[in-house]
Amino acid sequence: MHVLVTYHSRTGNTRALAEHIAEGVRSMEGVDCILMPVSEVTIDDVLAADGLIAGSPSYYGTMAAELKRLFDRIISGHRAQTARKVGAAFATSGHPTGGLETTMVSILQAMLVAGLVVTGDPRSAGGHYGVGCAGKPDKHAASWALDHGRQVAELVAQHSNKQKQASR
Amino acid sequence: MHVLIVHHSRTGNTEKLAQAIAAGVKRVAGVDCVLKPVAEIELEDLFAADGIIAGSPSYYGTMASELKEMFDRIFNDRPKMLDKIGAAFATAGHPTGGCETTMVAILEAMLVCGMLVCSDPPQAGGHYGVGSVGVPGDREIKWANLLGERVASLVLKMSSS
Repeated sequence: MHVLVTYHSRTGNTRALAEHIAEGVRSMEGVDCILMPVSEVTIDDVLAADGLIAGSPSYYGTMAAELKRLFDRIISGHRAQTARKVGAAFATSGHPTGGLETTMVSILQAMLVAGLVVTGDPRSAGGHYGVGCAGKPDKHAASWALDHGRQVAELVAQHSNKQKQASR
Repeated sequence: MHVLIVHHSRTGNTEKLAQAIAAGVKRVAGVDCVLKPVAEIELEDLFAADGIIAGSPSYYGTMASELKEMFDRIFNDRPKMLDKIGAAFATAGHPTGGCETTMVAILEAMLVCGMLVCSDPPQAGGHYGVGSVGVPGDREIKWANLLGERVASLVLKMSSS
């Protein structure tokens, strides 16, 4: 059972946030985490994962083309296989209202279309759509990212237990 | 010629941002400013304005029902809203607590009304308008001034063309 955390990062800020999220996923016993820049992700990587957490800097308030391309590739022919995986989003931007939220919403929309079961960040993180930060993640963003990763891992574990029970 | 600033505010944060936007509007000679809570808005106030700047706290990441009701009420009068300048502002309780999506929701409603919408100017640096997490600080007040000034300038430009 594992979660794929993938991101596009030019300055390293989104990668830093991804690393905190990956740490949160790994804090859940029984759930592994694969952390990869989106340029290295194959369709098989996505199909093999039980959960997908995708992050991007805000480019025009939406995800970078590099990440969009991954979703575009999934949608052509692989949609049935991505259905019911757990999905979540994260983002960075250069300004406090520089498109963080709308970037996460654009990622969650793509995931919904691909049939994933999506979640925002947990109550302890306090955001609406996932974890975001302006510039480099500070200690607050790092702690929210940890909780966000952990929540997705817990959902993946719950989800797979239910599927096992159902198939018995 | 005037700009109407309309807001819903429970804690006073959105109202404070509205006042800073009003100060920005007043910087532009020849453009007046009317500032009103949405509860006191008559439909005629909307039709009479040359520009409208609407703000709300983020409730579920979208505008408060009080402001939504105002837009719902003018739906059949959309032709009267055509080509007015529109802009948005918002407040939230968390850095990713829905400021942006609240502003986008307001801009969408304005677009449906046929208004010409704008964001905050490059010096303010945001994407969709001015947002503040909690009480607006010096930075947010400055951005709000700039947004008001921009809308007032656009109203002036539109009227002279």
